[in-house]
Amino acid sequence: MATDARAKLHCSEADKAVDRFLDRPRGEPPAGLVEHVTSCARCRQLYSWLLGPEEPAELPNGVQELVSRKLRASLRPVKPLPSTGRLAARFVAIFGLFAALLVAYFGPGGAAQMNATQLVVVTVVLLAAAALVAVSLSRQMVPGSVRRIPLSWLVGAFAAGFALVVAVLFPWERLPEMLAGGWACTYHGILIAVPPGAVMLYFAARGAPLSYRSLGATVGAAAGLLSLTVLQFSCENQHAGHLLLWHGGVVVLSVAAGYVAGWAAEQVALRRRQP
Amino acid sequence: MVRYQRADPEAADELVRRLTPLLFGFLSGPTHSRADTEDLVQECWLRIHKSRHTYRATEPVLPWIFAIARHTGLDGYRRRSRVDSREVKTERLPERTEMPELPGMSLKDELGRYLDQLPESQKEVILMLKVTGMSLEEVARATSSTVGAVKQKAHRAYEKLRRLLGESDGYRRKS
Repeated sequence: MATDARAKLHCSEADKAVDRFLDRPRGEPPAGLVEHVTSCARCRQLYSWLLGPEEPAELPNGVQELVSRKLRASLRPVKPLPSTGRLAARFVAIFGLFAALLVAYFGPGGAAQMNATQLVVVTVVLLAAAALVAVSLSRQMVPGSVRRIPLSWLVGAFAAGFALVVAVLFPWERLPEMLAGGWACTYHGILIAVPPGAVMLYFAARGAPLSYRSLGATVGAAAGLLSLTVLQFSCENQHAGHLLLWHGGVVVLSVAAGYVAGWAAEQVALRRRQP
Repeated sequence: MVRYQRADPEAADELVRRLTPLLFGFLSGPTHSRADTEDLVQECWLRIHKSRHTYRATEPVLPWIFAIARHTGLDGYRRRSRVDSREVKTERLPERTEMPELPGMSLKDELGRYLDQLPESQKEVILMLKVTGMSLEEVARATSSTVGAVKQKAHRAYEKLRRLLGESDGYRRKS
Protein backbone atom coordinates (compact mmCIF):
# COMPACT_ATOMS: atom_id res chain seq x y z
CA MET A 1 0.00 0.00 0.00
CA ALA A 2 2.74 2.40 1.00
CA THR A 3 4.58 1.75 -2.25
CA ASP A 4 1.38 2.47 -4.23
CA ALA A 5 0.87 5.71 -2.36
CA ARG A 6 4.45 6.78 -3.07
CA ALA A 7 4.12 5.85 -6.75
CA LYS A 8 1.09 8.14 -6.96
CA LEU A 9 3.14 11.14 -5.91
CA HIS A 10 1.94 14.20 -7.80
CA CYS A 11 4.44 16.31 -9.83
CA SER A 12 4.01 19.30 -7.49
CA GLU A 13 4.80 17.03 -4.51
CA ALA A 14 7.85 15.73 -6.40
CA ASP A 15 8.96 19.34 -6.91
CA LYS A 16 8.69 19.93 -3.16
CA ALA A 17 10.54 16.68 -2.43
CA VAL A 18 13.38 17.79 -4.72
CA ASP A 19 13.52 21.15 -2.93
CA ARG A 20 13.75 19.33 0.42
CA PHE A 21 16.43 17.03 -1.01
CA LEU A 22 18.45 20.10 -2.06
CA ASP A 23 18.14 21.54 1.44
CA ARG A 24 19.86 18.53 3.03
CA PRO A 25 23.65 18.23 2.77
CA ARG A 26 24.01 15.00 0.75
CA GLY A 27 22.33 11.65 0.81
CA GLU A 28 20.06 9.36 -1.13
CA PRO A 29 16.90 10.87 -2.65
CA PRO A 30 13.69 9.55 -1.01
CA ALA A 31 12.41 6.28 -2.53
CA GLY A 32 9.00 7.77 -3.40
CA LEU A 33 10.65 10.54 -5.36
CA VAL A 34 12.83 8.13 -7.31
CA GLU A 35 9.77 5.99 -8.17
CA HIS A 36 7.80 9.02 -9.33
CA VAL A 37 10.71 10.31 -11.42
CA THR A 38 11.04 6.90 -13.07
CA SER A 39 7.36 6.78 -14.01
CA CYS A 40 6.69 10.46 -14.93
CA ALA A 41 8.06 11.79 -18.24
CA ARG A 42 8.12 15.42 -17.12
CA CYS A 43 9.97 14.76 -13.85
CA ARG A 44 12.29 12.23 -15.48
CA GLN A 45 13.40 14.89 -17.93
CA LEU A 46 13.87 17.44 -15.18
CA TYR A 47 15.32 15.47 -12.29
CA SER A 48 16.85 12.18 -13.44
CA TRP A 49 20.13 13.94 -14.17
CA LEU A 50 20.16 15.45 -10.69
CA LEU A 51 19.13 12.35 -8.79
CA GLY A 52 21.04 9.75 -10.79
CA PRO A 53 24.74 8.94 -10.48
CA GLU A 54 27.12 11.37 -12.16
CA GLU A 55 28.74 9.99 -15.30
CA PRO A 56 32.48 10.66 -15.33
CA ALA A 57 33.46 13.25 -17.93
CA GLU A 58 35.22 11.90 -20.99
CA LEU A 59 38.71 13.33 -20.95
CA PRO A 60 40.73 13.99 -24.09
CA ASN A 61 43.83 11.84 -24.35
CA GLY A 62 46.89 13.09 -22.57
CA VAL A 63 45.35 15.99 -20.60
CA GLN A 64 46.02 14.45 -17.20
CA GLU A 65 49.57 13.47 -18.18
CA LEU A 66 50.26 16.96 -19.51
CA VAL A 67 48.95 18.61 -16.32
CA SER A 68 50.90 16.17 -14.10
CA ARG A 69 54.10 16.88 -16.05
CA LYS A 70 53.63 20.65 -15.69
CA LEU A 71 52.95 20.42 -11.95
CA ARG A 72 55.89 18.08 -11.31
CA ALA A 73 58.23 20.47 -13.17
CA SER A 74 57.68 23.22 -10.59
CA LEU A 75 56.86 21.17 -7.50
CA ARG A 76 58.48 22.73 -4.42
CA PRO A 77 57.42 22.48 -0.76
CA VAL A 78 55.25 25.41 0.36
CA LYS A 79 54.39 26.69 3.81
CA PRO A 80 50.62 26.95 4.37
CA LEU A 81 49.20 30.34 5.32
CA PRO A 82 48.46 30.93 9.02
CA SER A 83 44.87 30.69 10.29
CA THR A 84 42.27 33.37 9.47
CA GLY A 85 42.49 34.62 13.07
CA ARG A 86 46.24 35.16 12.85
CA LEU A 87 45.97 36.84 9.45
CA ALA A 88 43.22 39.13 10.75
CA ALA A 89 45.31 39.95 13.84
CA ARG A 90 48.14 40.96 11.50
CA PHE A 91 45.85 43.36 9.61
CA VAL A 92 44.50 44.83 12.87
CA ALA A 93 48.11 45.32 14.05
CA ILE A 94 48.97 47.19 10.82
CA PHE A 95 45.82 49.27 11.30
CA GLY A 96 46.66 50.07 14.94
CA LEU A 97 50.30 50.88 14.21
CA PHE A 98 49.51 53.28 11.36
CA ALA A 99 46.66 54.90 13.34
CA ALA A 100 48.84 55.47 16.41
CA LEU A 101 51.74 56.89 14.37
CA LEU A 102 49.54 59.20 12.31
CA VAL A 103 47.50 60.47 15.28
CA ALA A 104 50.77 61.16 17.10
CA TYR A 105 52.06 63.02 14.02
CA PHE A 106 48.93 65.15 13.46
CA GLY A 107 48.19 65.61 17.18
CA PRO A 108 45.18 64.34 19.17
CA GLY A 109 43.20 67.61 18.76
CA GLY A 110 39.98 65.78 17.90
CA ALA A 111 40.17 63.43 20.89
CA ALA A 112 40.53 66.48 23.16
CA GLN A 113 37.27 67.91 21.74
CA MET A 114 35.22 64.77 22.43
CA ASN A 115 33.55 63.99 25.76
CA ALA A 116 34.01 60.55 27.38
CA THR A 117 30.83 59.03 25.86
CA GLN A 118 31.69 60.21 22.35
CA LEU A 119 35.27 58.98 22.73
CA VAL A 120 34.29 55.50 23.96
CA VAL A 121 31.43 54.91 21.50
CA VAL A 122 33.36 56.17 18.45
CA THR A 123 36.44 54.12 19.41
CA VAL A 124 34.34 50.96 19.81
CA VAL A 125 32.58 51.48 16.45
CA LEU A 126 35.87 52.13 14.61
CA LEU A 127 37.64 49.17 16.25
CA ALA A 128 34.75 46.82 15.47
CA ALA A 129 34.76 47.97 11.85
CA ALA A 130 38.54 47.51 11.63
CA ALA A 131 38.21 43.96 12.99
CA LEU A 132 35.45 43.08 10.50
CA VAL A 133 37.41 44.46 7.55
CA ALA A 134 40.51 42.57 8.74
CA VAL A 135 38.55 39.29 8.88
CA SER A 136 37.11 39.96 5.42
CA LEU A 137 40.59 40.62 3.97
CA SER A 138 41.97 37.44 5.58
CA ARG A 139 39.14 35.35 4.15
CA GLN A 140 39.63 36.78 0.68
CA MET A 141 43.24 35.59 0.78
CA VAL A 142 42.05 31.96 0.95
CA PRO A 143 39.79 30.55 -1.81
CA GLY A 144 36.70 28.73 -0.56
CA SER A 145 36.60 30.47 2.83
CA VAL A 146 33.40 30.55 4.87
CA ARG A 147 31.34 33.69 4.36
CA ARG A 148 28.37 33.81 6.71
CA ILE A 149 27.47 37.46 6.15
CA PRO A 150 27.81 39.14 2.72
CA LEU A 151 30.46 41.90 2.56
CA SER A 152 27.90 44.43 1.33
CA TRP A 153 25.83 43.89 4.51
CA LEU A 154 28.91 44.53 6.68
CA VAL A 155 29.71 47.75 4.83
CA GLY A 156 26.07 48.84 5.08
CA ALA A 157 25.91 48.02 8.81
CA PHE A 158 29.10 49.97 9.51
CA ALA A 159 27.96 53.00 7.46
CA ALA A 160 24.57 53.02 9.21
CA GLY A 161 26.15 52.51 12.67
CA PHE A 162 28.73 55.26 12.21
CA ALA A 163 26.14 57.68 10.79
CA LEU A 164 23.75 56.97 13.68
CA VAL A 165 26.44 57.40 16.35
CA VAL A 166 27.67 60.66 14.86
CA ALA A 167 24.17 62.03 14.23
CA VAL A 168 23.06 61.29 17.79
CA LEU A 169 26.19 62.04 19.83
CA PHE A 170 27.72 65.02 18.05
CA PRO A 171 26.29 68.56 17.71
CA TRP A 172 25.04 69.71 14.29
CA GLU A 173 26.32 72.89 12.64
CA ARG A 174 24.55 75.11 10.08
CA LEU A 175 24.89 74.24 6.38
CA PRO A 176 27.36 77.01 5.38
CA GLU A 177 29.66 76.04 8.27
CA MET A 178 29.39 72.40 7.31
CA LEU A 179 30.43 73.09 3.72
CA ALA A 180 33.25 75.54 4.55
CA GLY A 181 36.79 74.23 4.70
CA GLY A 182 35.90 70.55 4.79
CA TRP A 183 37.64 69.64 1.57
CA ALA A 184 41.07 69.94 3.25
CA CYS A 185 40.09 67.08 5.60
CA THR A 186 39.00 64.84 2.71
CA TYR A 187 42.14 65.68 0.72
CA HIS A 188 44.45 64.88 3.65
CA GLY A 189 42.38 61.79 4.46
CA ILE A 190 42.93 60.41 0.97
CA LEU A 191 46.68 61.07 1.17
CA ILE A 192 46.79 59.36 4.58
CA ALA A 193 45.00 56.30 3.16
CA VAL A 194 47.56 55.55 0.43
CA PRO A 195 50.57 54.15 2.42
CA PRO A 196 48.59 51.82 4.73
CA GLY A 197 46.49 50.74 1.74
CA ALA A 198 49.68 49.75 -0.11
CA VAL A 199 50.99 47.81 2.91
CA MET A 200 47.67 45.94 3.37
CA LEU A 201 47.55 45.15 -0.35
CA TYR A 202 51.09 43.74 -0.15
CA PHE A 203 50.08 41.38 2.68
CA ALA A 204 46.75 40.44 1.07
CA ALA A 205 48.53 39.56 -2.20
CA ARG A 206 50.51 36.86 -0.33
CA GLY A 207 47.35 34.79 -0.38
CA ALA A 208 45.36 33.90 -3.50
CA PRO A 209 42.61 36.53 -3.79
CA LEU A 210 40.22 35.50 -6.53
CA SER A 211 38.32 38.73 -7.18
CA TYR A 212 40.56 41.76 -7.66
CA ARG A 213 37.56 44.09 -7.57
CA SER A 214 36.38 42.75 -4.23
CA LEU A 215 39.91 42.81 -2.81
CA GLY A 216 40.46 46.37 -4.10
CA ALA A 217 37.22 47.59 -2.51
CA THR A 218 38.05 45.87 0.81
CA VAL A 219 41.61 47.24 0.93
CA GLY A 220 40.10 50.65 0.05
CA ALA A 221 37.61 50.25 2.91
CA ALA A 222 40.40 49.33 5.36
CA ALA A 223 42.60 52.26 4.27
CA GLY A 224 39.62 54.66 4.29
CA LEU A 225 38.62 53.48 7.74
CA LEU A 226 42.15 54.12 8.98
CA SER A 227 41.99 57.64 7.54
CA LEU A 228 38.61 58.18 9.18
CA THR A 229 40.08 57.09 12.52
CA VAL A 230 43.05 59.45 12.19
CA LEU A 231 40.80 62.36 11.17
CA GLN A 232 38.36 61.59 14.00
CA PHE A 233 41.10 61.81 16.62
CA SER A 234 43.07 64.66 15.04
CA CYS A 235 40.57 67.07 13.48
CA GLU A 236 39.30 69.76 15.85
CA ASN A 237 36.02 70.25 13.97
CA GLN A 238 33.79 67.69 15.71
CA HIS A 239 30.42 68.70 14.25
CA ALA A 240 28.16 65.95 12.94
CA GLY A 241 27.78 67.36 9.41
CA HIS A 242 31.54 67.80 8.99
CA LEU A 243 32.27 64.29 10.29
CA LEU A 244 29.69 62.64 8.06
CA LEU A 245 30.32 64.57 4.86
CA TRP A 246 34.04 65.26 4.82
CA HIS A 247 35.44 62.47 7.01
CA GLY A 248 32.93 59.81 5.94
CA GLY A 249 33.53 60.86 2.32
CA VAL A 250 37.11 59.57 2.60
CA VAL A 251 35.83 56.01 3.16
CA VAL A 252 33.42 56.26 0.21
CA LEU A 253 36.16 57.60 -2.09
CA SER A 254 38.69 54.98 -0.89
CA VAL A 255 36.28 52.11 -1.51
CA ALA A 256 35.49 53.48 -4.97
CA ALA A 257 39.19 54.00 -5.78
CA GLY A 258 40.01 50.47 -4.57
CA TYR A 259 37.23 48.98 -6.67
CA VAL A 260 38.37 50.85 -9.81
CA ALA A 261 42.01 49.82 -9.18
CA GLY A 262 40.88 46.20 -8.78
CA TRP A 263 38.86 46.39 -11.98
CA ALA A 264 41.89 47.82 -13.84
CA ALA A 265 44.14 45.05 -12.45
CA GLU A 266 41.58 42.47 -13.58
CA GLN A 267 41.57 43.90 -17.13
CA VAL A 268 45.38 43.80 -17.25
CA ALA A 269 45.38 40.19 -16.02
CA LEU A 270 42.77 39.19 -18.61
CA ARG A 271 44.78 40.83 -21.39
CA ARG A 272 47.93 38.99 -20.27
CA ARG A 273 46.14 35.64 -20.34
CA GLN A 274 44.67 36.34 -23.80
CA PRO A 275 45.87 33.61 -26.15
CA MET B 1 46.60 17.85 -0.54
CA VAL B 2 48.97 18.20 2.42
CA ARG B 3 51.42 15.81 0.73
CA TYR B 4 51.10 17.87 -2.45
CA GLN B 5 52.02 20.98 -0.42
CA ARG B 6 55.09 19.05 0.77
CA ALA B 7 56.05 18.50 -2.90
CA ASP B 8 55.22 14.78 -3.07
CA PRO B 9 55.01 14.07 -6.85
CA GLU B 10 52.78 11.01 -6.35
CA ALA B 11 50.30 13.09 -4.37
CA ALA B 12 50.22 15.62 -7.20
CA ASP B 13 49.51 12.84 -9.74
CA GLU B 14 46.79 11.40 -7.51
CA LEU B 15 45.08 14.79 -7.19
CA VAL B 16 45.23 15.35 -10.94
CA ARG B 17 43.81 11.88 -11.59
CA ARG B 18 40.93 12.32 -9.14
CA LEU B 19 39.99 15.92 -9.78
CA THR B 20 40.52 16.48 -13.50
CA PRO B 21 37.29 14.66 -14.52
CA LEU B 22 35.30 16.79 -12.02
CA LEU B 23 36.95 19.99 -13.27
CA PHE B 24 36.27 18.96 -16.85
CA GLY B 25 32.60 18.34 -16.05
CA PHE B 26 32.28 21.68 -14.27
CA LEU B 27 34.16 23.81 -16.80
CA SER B 28 32.64 22.30 -19.93
CA GLY B 29 29.54 24.02 -21.25
CA PRO B 30 27.37 24.03 -24.36
CA THR B 31 29.09 27.19 -25.65
CA HIS B 32 32.63 25.85 -25.08
CA SER B 33 34.49 23.74 -27.61
CA ARG B 34 36.36 20.74 -26.26
CA ALA B 35 39.65 22.55 -26.89
CA ASP B 36 38.41 25.59 -24.89
CA THR B 37 37.49 23.34 -21.97
CA GLU B 38 40.86 21.60 -22.15
CA ASP B 39 42.62 24.99 -22.00
CA LEU B 40 40.44 26.07 -19.05
CA VAL B 41 41.22 22.86 -17.14
CA GLN B 42 44.96 23.32 -17.68
CA GLU B 43 44.76 26.99 -16.64
CA CYS B 44 42.77 25.99 -13.57
CA TRP B 45 45.43 23.46 -12.56
CA LEU B 46 48.16 26.10 -12.90
CA ARG B 47 46.16 28.44 -10.64
CA ILE B 48 45.62 25.65 -8.12
CA HIS B 49 49.36 24.98 -8.21
CA LYS B 50 50.24 28.66 -7.63
CA SER B 51 47.71 28.96 -4.80
CA ARG B 52 48.49 25.67 -3.04
CA HIS B 53 50.07 27.46 -0.05
CA THR B 54 46.62 28.92 0.79
CA TYR B 55 45.04 25.49 1.41
CA ARG B 56 44.73 24.59 5.09
CA ALA B 57 44.57 20.96 6.19
CA THR B 58 41.67 21.72 8.54
CA GLU B 59 39.42 22.92 5.68
CA PRO B 60 37.54 20.83 3.08
CA VAL B 61 39.42 20.58 -0.21
CA LEU B 62 36.60 20.67 -2.78
CA PRO B 63 35.32 24.20 -1.99
CA TRP B 64 38.92 25.43 -2.19
CA ILE B 65 39.44 23.74 -5.59
CA PHE B 66 36.09 24.81 -7.02
CA ALA B 67 36.40 28.41 -5.84
CA ILE B 68 39.50 28.57 -8.04
CA ALA B 69 37.78 26.65 -10.86
CA ARG B 70 34.80 29.00 -10.73
CA HIS B 71 37.03 32.05 -11.20
CA THR B 72 38.97 30.34 -13.98
CA GLY B 73 35.65 29.76 -15.75
CA LEU B 74 34.53 33.38 -15.15
CA ASP B 75 37.80 34.74 -16.52
CA GLY B 76 37.48 32.45 -19.52
CA TYR B 77 33.98 33.79 -20.12
CA ARG B 78 35.19 37.41 -19.81
CA ARG B 79 38.06 36.76 -22.21
CA ARG B 80 35.69 35.24 -24.76
CA SER B 81 33.33 38.21 -24.36
CA ARG B 82 36.22 40.63 -25.04
CA VAL B 83 37.21 38.73 -28.16
CA ASP B 84 33.59 38.47 -29.35
CA SER B 85 33.00 42.21 -28.84
CA ARG B 86 36.03 43.06 -31.00
CA GLU B 87 35.51 40.55 -33.77
CA VAL B 88 33.88 41.84 -36.95
CA LYS B 89 31.03 39.56 -37.86
CA THR B 90 31.27 38.61 -41.52
CA GLU B 91 27.81 37.14 -41.63
CA ARG B 92 24.65 37.61 -39.66
CA LEU B 93 23.90 34.77 -37.29
CA PRO B 94 20.33 33.44 -37.30
CA GLU B 95 18.06 34.68 -34.53
CA ARG B 96 17.74 32.26 -31.62
CA THR B 97 14.48 30.40 -31.97
CA GLU B 98 12.49 28.04 -29.80
CA MET B 99 14.65 25.08 -28.98
CA PRO B 100 14.27 22.54 -31.75
CA GLU B 101 14.29 18.89 -30.79
CA LEU B 102 17.17 17.18 -32.53
CA PRO B 103 17.03 13.49 -33.36
CA GLY B 104 19.23 11.34 -31.18
CA MET B 105 19.59 13.99 -28.50
CA SER B 106 20.05 12.48 -25.04
CA LEU B 107 18.14 13.55 -21.95
CA LYS B 108 21.33 15.06 -20.54
CA ASP B 109 21.97 17.09 -23.72
CA GLU B 110 18.40 18.33 -23.68
CA LEU B 111 18.55 19.35 -20.04
CA GLY B 112 21.94 20.95 -20.75
CA ARG B 113 20.23 23.26 -23.23
CA TYR B 114 17.65 24.23 -20.60
CA LEU B 115 20.43 24.80 -18.07
CA ASP B 116 22.09 27.12 -20.57
CA GLN B 117 19.04 29.40 -20.35
CA LEU B 118 19.52 29.94 -16.61
CA PRO B 119 21.44 32.93 -15.23
CA GLU B 120 25.12 32.03 -14.82
CA SER B 121 24.97 32.19 -11.00
CA GLN B 122 22.07 29.71 -10.84
CA LYS B 123 23.61 27.38 -13.40
CA GLU B 124 26.92 27.18 -11.53
CA VAL B 125 25.14 26.30 -8.28
CA ILE B 126 23.23 23.47 -9.98
CA LEU B 127 26.41 22.21 -11.68
CA MET B 128 28.40 22.32 -8.44
CA LEU B 129 25.71 20.46 -6.51
CA LYS B 130 25.49 17.78 -9.16
CA VAL B 131 28.91 17.46 -10.83
CA THR B 132 31.06 17.84 -7.73
CA GLY B 133 28.69 16.30 -5.18
CA MET B 134 29.41 19.13 -2.73
CA SER B 135 26.98 20.02 0.06
CA LEU B 136 25.17 23.37 0.19
CA GLU B 137 27.69 24.57 2.79
CA GLU B 138 30.59 23.63 0.52
CA VAL B 139 28.99 25.25 -2.54
CA ALA B 140 28.49 28.39 -0.43
CA ARG B 141 32.21 28.40 0.36
CA ALA B 142 33.19 27.83 -3.28
CA THR B 143 30.96 30.66 -4.51
CA SER B 144 31.90 33.10 -1.69
CA SER B 145 28.28 33.14 -0.71
CA THR B 146 26.02 32.10 2.15
CA VAL B 147 24.11 28.80 2.48
CA GLY B 148 20.83 30.74 2.31
CA ALA B 149 21.84 32.40 -0.96
CA VAL B 150 22.88 29.05 -2.49
CA LYS B 151 19.55 27.46 -1.47
CA GLN B 152 17.69 30.38 -2.97
CA LYS B 153 19.62 30.17 -6.26
CA ALA B 154 19.07 26.40 -6.50
CA HIS B 155 15.35 26.77 -5.84
CA ARG B 156 15.00 29.60 -8.35
CA ALA B 157 16.90 27.55 -10.92
CA TYR B 158 14.49 24.64 -10.45
CA GLU B 159 11.47 26.93 -10.65
CA LYS B 160 12.77 28.26 -13.96
CA LEU B 161 13.60 24.78 -15.28
CA ARG B 162 10.09 23.61 -14.38
CA ARG B 163 8.62 26.61 -16.20
CA LEU B 164 10.83 26.07 -19.27
CA LEU B 165 9.90 22.42 -19.33
CA GLY B 166 6.21 23.27 -19.02
CA GLU B 167 6.48 25.72 -21.95
CA SER B 168 8.37 23.18 -24.00
CA ASP B 169 5.74 20.51 -23.31
CA GLY B 170 3.00 22.95 -24.36
CA TYR B 171 4.94 23.80 -27.51
CA ARG B 172 5.33 20.12 -28.37
CA ARG B 173 1.67 19.40 -27.74
CA LYS B 174 0.63 22.30 -30.04
CA SER B 175 2.94 21.15 -32.82
